[in-house]
Amino acid sequence: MRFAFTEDQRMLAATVAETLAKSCPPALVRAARTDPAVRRGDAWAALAGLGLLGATVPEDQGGLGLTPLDTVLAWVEVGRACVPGPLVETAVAAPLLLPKGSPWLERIAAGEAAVSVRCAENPYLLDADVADLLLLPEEATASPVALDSADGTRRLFTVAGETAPGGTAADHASVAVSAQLLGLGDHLLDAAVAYAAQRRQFGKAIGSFQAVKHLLADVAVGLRFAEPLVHRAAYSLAHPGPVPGSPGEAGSSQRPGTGPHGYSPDIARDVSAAKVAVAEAAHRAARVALQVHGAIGYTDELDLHLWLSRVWALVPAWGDPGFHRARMRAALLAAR
Amino acid sequence: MDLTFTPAQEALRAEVREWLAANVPAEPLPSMDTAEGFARHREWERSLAAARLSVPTWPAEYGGRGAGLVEWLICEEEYWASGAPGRVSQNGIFLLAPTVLHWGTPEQKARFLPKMATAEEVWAQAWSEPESGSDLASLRATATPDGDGWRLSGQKTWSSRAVFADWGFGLFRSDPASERHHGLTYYLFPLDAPGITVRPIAQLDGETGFAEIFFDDVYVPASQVLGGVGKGWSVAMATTSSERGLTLRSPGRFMAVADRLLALAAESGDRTLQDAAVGAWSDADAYRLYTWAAVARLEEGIELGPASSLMKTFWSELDLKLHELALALRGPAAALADRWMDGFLFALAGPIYAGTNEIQRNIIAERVLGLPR
Repeated sequence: MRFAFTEDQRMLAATVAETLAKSCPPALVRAARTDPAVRRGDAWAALAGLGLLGATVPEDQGGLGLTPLDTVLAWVEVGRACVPGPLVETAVAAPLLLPKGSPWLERIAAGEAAVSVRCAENPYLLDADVADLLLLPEEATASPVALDSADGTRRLFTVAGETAPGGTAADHASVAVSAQLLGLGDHLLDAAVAYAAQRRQFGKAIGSFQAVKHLLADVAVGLRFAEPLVHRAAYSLAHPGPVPGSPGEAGSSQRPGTGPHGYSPDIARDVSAAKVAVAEAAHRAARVALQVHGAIGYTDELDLHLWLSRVWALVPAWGDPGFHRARMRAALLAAR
Repeated sequence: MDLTFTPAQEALRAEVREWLAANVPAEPLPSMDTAEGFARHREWERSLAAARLSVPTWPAEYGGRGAGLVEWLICEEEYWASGAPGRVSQNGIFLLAPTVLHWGTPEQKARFLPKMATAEEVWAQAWSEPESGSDLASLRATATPDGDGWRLSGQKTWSSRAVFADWGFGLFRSDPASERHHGLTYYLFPLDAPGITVRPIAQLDGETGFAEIFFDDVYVPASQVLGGVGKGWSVAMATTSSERGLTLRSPGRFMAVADRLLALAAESGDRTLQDAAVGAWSDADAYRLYTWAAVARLEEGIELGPASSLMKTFWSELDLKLHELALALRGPAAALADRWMDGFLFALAGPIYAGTNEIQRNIIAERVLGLPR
């Protein structure tokens, strides 16, 4: 038993972070509010170049054939950099929804195709205006209708008709979004800490005041204890079967995972636990980052709000907290 | 990443589970903060030691199995899930022993550790003083040289179970000209030494879990200095890091409570409380996973350091949340003085002892996040 990432997994994340530092500066995120091409621009190309867009596409179709465990740290970096565009929909959900051998897979891996996805967990089509393919549970009865998004760097659309659950694809997308929320939260904590260390009032840095310290310490506690839940959710997606010898195995009287003995993956429980915890931690990070910055944080001039509104956009994406809490309740209480 | 356990680890789990099923007392033991309960708990520790389960991570020569941290976590999960009694030896084995193993002389290890493992000698900690609680570096109890040894004077307080314990460990100011965390030395002393008076303090549950310890010119030989004269602060900090982080509060303890909480929640018709209980279970699980990650880092040679303050803040508030929710779910029965109420009272102490959570948040802000003092 070893709850740690491999050198390769850490290396991919470090490379993504390094690349995004160059290809996705805050000015680019800001530009995505007015220029649709940015959502398919430099950062998109850079992530395609590293293989992240085709990470889960099979190798014989131009992808890397990686597992969610291999990429979860990289998605944290995508969140930290606040990269715009339908990345999770294209790179995570679409490869699971498209039939094997679909020519779209190679185009996704090459960075040539953007996909928008609509399902019960994700009723709004993200960035349909720049997508090459719309994946809908059934034929759309009308053209997509644009809606205003809480995050000006994202465009949301709706179409008439029923939605069906996205299944496995929705779980994978939810974990990638959870990882992004972790990165967004960490960026907001770092920004607030940096600001508190240099902003002076009453002749002292405000970061030396205990009231401010305790706000930030609570953000750190929230993020650090949501983090392993996100990592474990990725593990459970990558290891969907019961662990041999664990209580979740057939024939055991103990329900999977809830017993104190051993460990057994449970995708619904683990994915939802991660999303609920990280949504709460990222929301707290956003609230505190704004509070620590004061009025300047409430302006459009400072970049801070780009990260704030991305948190508010991703908390309800791919399963809102109410949906995930209901799944946890079912997973943990139903058998009792 | 690999979350499966090896066959050897599974075998250990089975052995521990089987032994506990056969040996855990059917009825809960009386409180360890009473004379009778203390004796019964000491008896329990002795049987644990006989099964070599009292200190599995220690070297075999001192009564352990030389087990790794993953094996220790398995033992802890099984221990708390079985409903076994609280550890009356915990101050010694979880707080002092890591320090003795790191700083002690071979003679000290051989003299103190085996008797600690069997609870033949139960230890009490003597950190706080009436004016030195959270600000431990302000402590004033003194040690003055006397021939080959030292004379201890002053007062310690909030010493858990010192009323019934055999030995104590604590910091004294050995350099009268020193200030703050300089000039302190770490001493080990028998609580029946001439000049020591132990006065019980009743806790809010009415039992004498605490004590004050008065030192009136108590002689301590040089062989009972731990880690070198004047080095007390750095020796003690190793102990407090253990206390706040890994060793004192293993996740098994909270997972066992969280599982019992889910059983209560399943019978409730209150959807809000059910959701809160499920969330608290998930928090306990998060603490378990964080601990697994911490073990992986420790095995890479990375020390816990100030991250132990993150853990202390989280587990103490988790423990309280679990018990508060249990009382809410129990309805009128929450008024009973039973296992849940005992657990709640104990959980209330969590944000206070081992450094209050206000102090932990300062440590997180300054030493983890790098904010100015």
